Amino acid sequence: MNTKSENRKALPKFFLIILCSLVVGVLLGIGIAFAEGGWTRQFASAVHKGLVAAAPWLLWGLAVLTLGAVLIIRHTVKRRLAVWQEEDEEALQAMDGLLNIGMLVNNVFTIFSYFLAAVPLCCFQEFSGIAFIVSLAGFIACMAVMTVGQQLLVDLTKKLYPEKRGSVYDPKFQKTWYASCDEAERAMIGQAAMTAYKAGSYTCLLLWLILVLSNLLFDFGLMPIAVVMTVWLVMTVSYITACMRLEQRKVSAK
Amino acid sequence: MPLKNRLKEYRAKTGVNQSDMGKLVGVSRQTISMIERGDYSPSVTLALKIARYFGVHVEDIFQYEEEET
Repeated sequence: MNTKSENRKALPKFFLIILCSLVVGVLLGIGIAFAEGGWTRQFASAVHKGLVAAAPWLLWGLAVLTLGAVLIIRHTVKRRLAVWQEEDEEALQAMDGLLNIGMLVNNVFTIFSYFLAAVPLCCFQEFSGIAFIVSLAGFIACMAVMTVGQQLLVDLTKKLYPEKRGSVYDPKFQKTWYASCDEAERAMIGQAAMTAYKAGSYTCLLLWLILVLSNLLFDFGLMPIAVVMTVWLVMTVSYITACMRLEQRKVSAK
Repeated sequence: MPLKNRLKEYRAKTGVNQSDMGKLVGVSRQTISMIERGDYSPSVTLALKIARYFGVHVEDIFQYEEEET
């Protein structure tokens, strides 16, 4: 199929999506403008107060949950690894899956803990001295648990795949780990990175829409939109420049 | 996947396990397993390394089969 006919085939659907988005956007904008009232401020204030009250305990809760999850996964994988017969692919995949769940929990909770740590730091005037100290101690506990937790999971992964190299405590961990991956693993990393890039781009676009519309209700200004756009920009520019560098390497290798 | 292979058969003939096979050709045990299951098509370099290890031609181990449309 040539480029022109491909474009001609895809264009109607593209215009339909644009038109639908426009109609939905206008209707949402009008709806939100009419819905604007005192309740939005009350809602924002309730969320804010809730976060200020809960942040210290949530941070400690995250630290305990992460520690529990990592220790349970570690114990389960170690037990299975002790009786694992080489070439038993199902058992290996089950252990690999558990380690990946551990990594996911650890990383997602790390992001949550960074958000919760911002609450006492940004609203310190609303915190009592004790609540502030409990929050910061909770954040430090989260960081410690999550770093050690990641190292424990990485150590176990290295037992499963002895050729893997790298320590979480080393600032060059990602580089060392990638260098120890073979061609199949690098291909998987590439596919996963593409999925992450696509998800990130869609999320930034969706966030832009949500923020533009929510600004009508909460009037928080341009700062959050600028932050989302910065993330989008960094992601897009780094992706395209990396592609350009790789293309260049291919050309110069010929 | 149109690339069929007889890697497992050749490996069994020589009595080498997946881990050792991986070490011999510079990849992980998991990659050898993925190739055997047909979940991963190796690069030309890796296919050549594997063939060289068994002392055969690449086509003896890997066969490209056209997918029916």
